[in-house]
Amino acid sequence: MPFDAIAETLLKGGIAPRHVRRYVRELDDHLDDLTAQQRAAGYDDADAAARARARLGEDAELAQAMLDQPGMRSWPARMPWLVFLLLPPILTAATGLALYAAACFIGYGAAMTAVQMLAAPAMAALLVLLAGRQRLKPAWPLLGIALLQLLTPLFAAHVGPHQNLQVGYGMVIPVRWSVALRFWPVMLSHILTFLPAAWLIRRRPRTVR
Amino acid sequence: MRNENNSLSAGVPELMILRLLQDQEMYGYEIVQAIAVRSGQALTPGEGVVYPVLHGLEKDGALKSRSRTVKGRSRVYYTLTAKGAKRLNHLAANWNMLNAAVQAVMAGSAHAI
Repeated sequence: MPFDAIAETLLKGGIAPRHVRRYVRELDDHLDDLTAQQRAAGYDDADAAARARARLGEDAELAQAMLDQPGMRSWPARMPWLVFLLLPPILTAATGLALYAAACFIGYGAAMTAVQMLAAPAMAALLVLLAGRQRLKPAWPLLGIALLQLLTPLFAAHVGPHQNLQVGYGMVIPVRWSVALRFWPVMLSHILTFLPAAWLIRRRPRTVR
Repeated sequence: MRNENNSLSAGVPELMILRLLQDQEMYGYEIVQAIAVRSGQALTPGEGVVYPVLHGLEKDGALKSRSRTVKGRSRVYYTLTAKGAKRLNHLAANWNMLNAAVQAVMAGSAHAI
């Protein structure tokens, strides 16, 4: 693609991916119009393409014009600490509260176990996605995932023998296989949460360019 | 269209774009061509730099955009908003004042010479 280098510069400079996509799309359209104009003026395909690209502007100029615009930077670029360090605890707490509310109203069931198991991995994947889209250093999502691993709740709720609702929140330390097997949803959640981090670590040399 | 980041040229690209869009909705290529034609080819910037200015104006609420498919190609058309019209008036007033001031200085220089 003719504007890949500009897109990379802008993403690394913190410009939000949606603004980058739109800019590149408009530059692409503009280049097509300019090339058609040059062809109509009598230049052959190669000359028309070269003249059109020159008229559009140099890569550095085009990238700098966008970087100079205020308000185009994304949240992960402007405040990575907010997105990667504050958001995971907030989302974890919100998930816990939602599960608690659901347990109160509809009882604790298999669907809630699934939500409990998959919420943290989904958040971890989201953090990796946000960092990757913005070409951020892997340290930010890795820190966020580490936080998620610490905060991933072991949430349990069930109706007791006297129709009383029992709710628990804690952390499993699998000192024995029997403990790990008993709390397999939590263990599986931890493993799944780690997978995006593992992928990021393996991919690191290409992510941080 | 290059922003020289000094007080004399600051706001000039915005002013030209807002003025053109006051008459009709346009897409980026049309805007650049209109600037070149109306300025008698005196202003022929790196054409792509018009888009960051357009995006900035849209973010500020001075413009709004919509995608339209014309002859099989998707184009982003820009129109002036009420806020953009106010901004245009403000920028035009500033420009007229600056222009008058420069004319006065130039007239003074001519007399001095």
